[in-house]
Amino acid sequence: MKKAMSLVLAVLMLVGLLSACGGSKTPASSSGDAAKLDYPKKDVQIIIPYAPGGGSDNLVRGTMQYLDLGATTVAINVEGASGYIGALQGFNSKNDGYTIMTHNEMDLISYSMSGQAEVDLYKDLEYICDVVTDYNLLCTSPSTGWTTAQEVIDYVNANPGTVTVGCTGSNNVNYGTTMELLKAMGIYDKVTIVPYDGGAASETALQGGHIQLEVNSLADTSSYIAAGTNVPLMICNDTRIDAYPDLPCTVENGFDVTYGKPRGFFAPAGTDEAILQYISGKMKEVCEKPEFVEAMANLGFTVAYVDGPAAKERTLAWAESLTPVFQDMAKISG
Amino acid sequence: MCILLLALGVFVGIIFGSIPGLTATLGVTLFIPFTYTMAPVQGLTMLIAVYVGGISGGLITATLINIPGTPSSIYTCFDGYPMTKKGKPAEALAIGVFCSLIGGTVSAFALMAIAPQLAKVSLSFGSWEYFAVALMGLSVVVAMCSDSLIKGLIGAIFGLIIGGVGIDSISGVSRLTFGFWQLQGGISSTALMMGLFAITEVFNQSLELDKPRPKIEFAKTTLIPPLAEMKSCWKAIGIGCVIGTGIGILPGIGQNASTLISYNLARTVSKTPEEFGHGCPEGICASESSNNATNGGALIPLVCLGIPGDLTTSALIGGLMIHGLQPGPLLYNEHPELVGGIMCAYFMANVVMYVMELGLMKAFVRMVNVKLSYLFPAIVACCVLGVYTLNNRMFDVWTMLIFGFLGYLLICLGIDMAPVILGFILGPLIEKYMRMALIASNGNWGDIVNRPVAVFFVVVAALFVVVPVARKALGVTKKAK
Repeated sequence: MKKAMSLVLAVLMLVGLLSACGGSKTPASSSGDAAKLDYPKKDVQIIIPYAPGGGSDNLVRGTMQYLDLGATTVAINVEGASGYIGALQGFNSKNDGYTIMTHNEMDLISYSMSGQAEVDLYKDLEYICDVVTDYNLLCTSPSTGWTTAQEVIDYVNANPGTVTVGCTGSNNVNYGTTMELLKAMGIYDKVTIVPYDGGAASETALQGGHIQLEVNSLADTSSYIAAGTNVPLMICNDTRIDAYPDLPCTVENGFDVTYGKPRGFFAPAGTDEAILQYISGKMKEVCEKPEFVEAMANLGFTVAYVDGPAAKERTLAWAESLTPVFQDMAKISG
Repeated sequence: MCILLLALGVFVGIIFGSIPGLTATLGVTLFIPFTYTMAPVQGLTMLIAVYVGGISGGLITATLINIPGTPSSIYTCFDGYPMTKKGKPAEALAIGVFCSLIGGTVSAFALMAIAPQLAKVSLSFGSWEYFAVALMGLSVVVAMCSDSLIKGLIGAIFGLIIGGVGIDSISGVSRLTFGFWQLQGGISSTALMMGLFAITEVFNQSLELDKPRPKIEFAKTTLIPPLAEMKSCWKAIGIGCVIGTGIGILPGIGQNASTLISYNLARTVSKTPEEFGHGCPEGICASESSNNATNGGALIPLVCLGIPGDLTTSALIGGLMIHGLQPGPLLYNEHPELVGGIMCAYFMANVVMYVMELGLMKAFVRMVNVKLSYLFPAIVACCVLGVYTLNNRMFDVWTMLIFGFLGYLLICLGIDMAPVILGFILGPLIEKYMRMALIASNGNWGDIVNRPVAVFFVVVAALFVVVPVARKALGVTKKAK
């Protein structure tokens, strides 16, 4: 009898929970009433497709401190597969404007081009806006003694096969950027590229002397640069950046590799245009606050607001130029 | 103020830790927003307290009802629960709590005294070393399954296979995802462990719900750890502290691996290895001292290098950065007050945790005699809630339930859970580091001989495999004569 009772109780509780939780899982449906903006009426969820404590997590939690959407915002970490799981969860959420997510365009491009994704998230997601950008750097550790890109090229040419270069992940834009940069420098065939599973892991390997060069993001390296245990050689951009006026950019050295790392906010396909613009406007206000700019600088990010349509246009252009790079990468991984 | 926050943090941590399904990481993540308005030292004190309480709190349900409150307490179940069944729940808890304190304190001293040196050690570990350490961990499977090697290996291989699920980060190929995009990130380890341990256990014990359960009688709870019972345990505690701290300083390995390596190592060197798994205090000591020592170890690369040692410390990094503090090599020199605060908070949190858990013990111990028909639905509900909260999706809950059934099937087949977990946790680590090491050396296996530390661990691993087998073979020939 007791057994039956407890079983019934357990099943009831389970069913209760399942149905309570099931609500958020219904697939995206088009919401029709765009007549007047009656938004937001309840909490807005922001999906963070990366672990707590990472760059995206800090970006969202930092933004939330200054963001006033007129409703509470709730951050949810959905990590796994380099942000892909969270991206799909965001994509498959209800497009009522109450679930948005943060992501970065370069990873969204990577999912499609590496053949991992069945949907082209970078085309199909709604772009709210980009808020910050991060840069790729070519760095070394002080123990190598290199201070310019030319010294690296000379050394590698004199000692082919002895230098190992760390990068973040494989089959993604980071690896592609690393590959393109090394090719432009003419040393791609003379070094070994090791893909680490994160910027922090690559940086740790550089600090431990396991690699001699790395192509890593400014966010992951800035504190080491400040401490003098990481020597930046070049920044992937067409101009120098304000935070590091003495650091040469790739273009001035004659290497045309300028892929940046913008980060922004996205919404499921079919989200009301008015809602997208509303959130984008609020985000723009945040980006104009000096405290926010400073907080982001502390994270290694440069605040650079770009509205949704412009961000999408820029991303589509990048995707086009990256297509041959991914074809090259596919050849390596066979 | 800080003391109050510390006490509150530890209390919340213990609650999160002791409820199956709610983990220490979840506790820390949920508390980060509360620390926004606090001063950095206060905020970090609170987060560290939650962390310490959470990791330690897992031992309570592990000991009393055979369900680990937090995945790092899995190995505490193996000996804690049999002790409870023997009518010694209070002693088992007291031993566990005391070892948590020792593990925490030893790693706190390591953190205070030699953190910069240990951080250098952690940097010197490259892919080959990580590979070798993980391989050593996996090799104990042979010693572990001395009763039935075949069943042990089946378990370990099952673990390796489910560990392989997900997108392979190096080649980008999806493995064993059966078309579920949710599986591309691999099987959620919390969902898996709650399934295999909590849900399976509920199924298993539910079969006996209608049988009268003998009321477990136990002596008055004491606040002093039963030192007499722990005479033989110092070796196990030592192993737990050293391995725990050592694994803690290596970013990316974590508590689960450290407890399983410590437990199996303690069993290997124990004078009475046959008692492990049947209520041996040494087992509790090894498991609980190492998971708490890992906490302190993981804080070392955090304060010295700005590198998180495990998942929970990466949440702590988030807590630092939100206050505009850049974790990194400069933190140690430029913010000594903060680093001192972290160390102090960690040490104090361990003491508070000890006092609080002993104080709460009287209440906890009653749990063993609560009717299972009340307890189990509550546990299942908490597991569902906790696992759902991980990623806010039902998929993980289904994963947990499916592994609950699979776990029950394994029990019916007489296959231990321990090798399954071993394979699941260590398999992916071995694979990842081996492949990275091979990429860096252009596919040259011989490169490993340039890394003496790695060679050392590989040799130890080989010994773990060969010695038990050789012993058995020799034993057999002796009997034959």
